[in-house]
Amino acid sequence: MSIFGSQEKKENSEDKFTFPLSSNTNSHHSFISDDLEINGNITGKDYIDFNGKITGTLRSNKIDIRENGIVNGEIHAENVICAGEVDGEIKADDLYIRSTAKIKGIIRYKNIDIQAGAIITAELIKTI
Amino acid sequence: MKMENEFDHNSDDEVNSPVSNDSGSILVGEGVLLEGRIVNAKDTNISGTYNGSVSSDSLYISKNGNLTGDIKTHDMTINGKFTGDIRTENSLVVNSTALAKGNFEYSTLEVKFGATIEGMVKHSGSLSTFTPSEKIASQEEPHDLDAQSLDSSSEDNN
Repeated sequence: MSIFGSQEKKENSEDKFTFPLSSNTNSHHSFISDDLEINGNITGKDYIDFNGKITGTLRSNKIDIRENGIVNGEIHAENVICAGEVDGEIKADDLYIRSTAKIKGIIRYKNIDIQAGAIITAELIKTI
Repeated sequence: MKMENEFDHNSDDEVNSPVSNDSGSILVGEGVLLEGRIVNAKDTNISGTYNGSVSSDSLYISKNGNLTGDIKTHDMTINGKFTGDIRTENSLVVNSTALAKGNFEYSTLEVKFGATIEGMVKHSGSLSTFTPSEKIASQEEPHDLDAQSLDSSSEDNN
């Protein structure tokens, strides 16, 4: 019992030895900070938490474009949450556009959700 | 079918009207097929099928409604089918049961998960705050947006 009860403490002690972002799950969680400016492509298989600026293509299973994130190019993922700026093309199965988003270009989706406040000038295409 | 301003001053409509306060209201009921042109309306509710243009303060297409035409409104909510061009001065809400195709110009756009919206969507009014690096060639004159952006964009093509 006491072992389970003190699991929180145990995790804290493990944090000293493991990279903090990889401690909560065994999935691949990639973080791009707003300090980074990338010219080129990023390809992942899992989750990308994107706060930086990229000119190129982002590809993964799930991509989170945060409020600071700027993408000039393409985003391809099954699940995309966009709160930042995109100029180019978004292709997603499930696309969530937050109120802070600014998007210009082409949007291909299977399911789309747009919060009021988002600024979008784009061609919307539903894919099957 | 054109509704003119004088219509409001016609006292006869009070007698025949099933709704007591229906000034500026239009309801196309379920099962009804209407074709024509609606202007100067305040509230328009399409539950049946309507082919034609609408100029109304608010426009509501209910789940079974089917509207084809050009729309000019302040506020619009789509639950059913729509095909055509929309210009909303204020809010455009596309709910999850909606199937909307065409060109949409809006100030505030809200789309609920599950909705189908296809075509060009264009935010009007605040392009000055959004300058994503380069090439806004197709929308180079933000001053025109309030009055005649649709007209000016077609003129640009000529």
